[in-house]
Amino acid sequence: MNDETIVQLLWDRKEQGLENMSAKYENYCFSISCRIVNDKEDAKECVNDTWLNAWNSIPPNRPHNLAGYLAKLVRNISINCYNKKHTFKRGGDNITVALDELSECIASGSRVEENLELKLLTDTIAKFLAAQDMTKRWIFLQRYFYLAEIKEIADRLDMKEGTVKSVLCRMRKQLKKWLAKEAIYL
Amino acid sequence: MIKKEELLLHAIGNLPEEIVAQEDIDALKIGARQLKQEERKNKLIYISRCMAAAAACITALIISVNVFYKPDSNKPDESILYSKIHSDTDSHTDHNKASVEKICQCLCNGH
Repeated sequence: MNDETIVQLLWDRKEQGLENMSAKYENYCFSISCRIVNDKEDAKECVNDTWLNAWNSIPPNRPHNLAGYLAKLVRNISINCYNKKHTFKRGGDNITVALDELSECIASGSRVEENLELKLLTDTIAKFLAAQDMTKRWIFLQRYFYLAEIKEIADRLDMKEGTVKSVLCRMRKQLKKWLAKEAIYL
Repeated sequence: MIKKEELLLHAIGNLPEEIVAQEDIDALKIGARQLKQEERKNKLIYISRCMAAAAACITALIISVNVFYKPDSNKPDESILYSKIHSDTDSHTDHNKASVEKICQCLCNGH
C-alpha cells in the first residue's frame, strides 16, 4: 500500500491505516530507535509510542512524506527515552530527577522565545542542508538526525571512515560559518 | 536551560520531512564516488602544500647559511701554505718537514 493511501486511511480514522503503516514501517522505525536507545525492548516501546503519536497527530497533520514524518517522531521519542533513562542511571540525583519531573508540567516544554529560537535555528539548518549536495546532506543527516555510527555510514556508501569523518568535519565548520552569517550565535 | 548541543539536536530533529527522508542508496553511491575523488584531490593539495612549505624552509636555510656564515677571510688556505713552506724547506731534513707540517696545521686551525 502506498503512503498516500495510508495517510488517507489515518485521516479518515480507519485502523486499517495504522495496521498498514506499522507493517510497512516497523523495521524502519525500529532500526532508527535501536541506534538511539541501544536496547531492543526500549526500541519496541518507542516504536509503539510512534504509532500512537502518528495516530493522534494525523489529523490535524497531513504529512507529504510519511517516512520522513515517522522518522522524526520515532527519533524524538527515542531521544526522550534515552534522556530519561540516563537521568535515572546517573544515580538519580534528586535535583536532576526533580527537574525532569517538573519539565513535564511545562506546557510545550519550553518558552516562547526558545520556541522561536528553535524554529529559526531549524530553518537555518534546513537552508544549509538544502544548499549541500545529496550525498553530503545524507551523511550529515545519518550522523546527526538518525545518529548512525560513522562506520555504518562509511559501509553503506563503500567509503573509508576517514573520508566520512573529514566530510562531517568540513560540514560542521561550514555550518558554523553559515549560522554566523545568519546571525545565530550559539 | 537547554545546552547548546541539545538545542542543535532538537533543531535537527525538527527538520522538514522532505529533508530527512532517506534517499535512494544507489544515487548516493554515485555521489560518494565523487566525494572520494574530491577527498583525494584535497589530500594531493595538502601534500603539495606540505612539500612547498618544506622546500621554502630548505631554501630559507640555505640562504641564511650563505648570508650569516662567511668563511673567515683571514684564515690561511692550508694548501697554499703547504706549497709555500714546502718550496722553502725542500732542502730540509724529514724531521724538519714533519715539524713544518705540524706548524702549518696549527696555523690553519688558528692556534
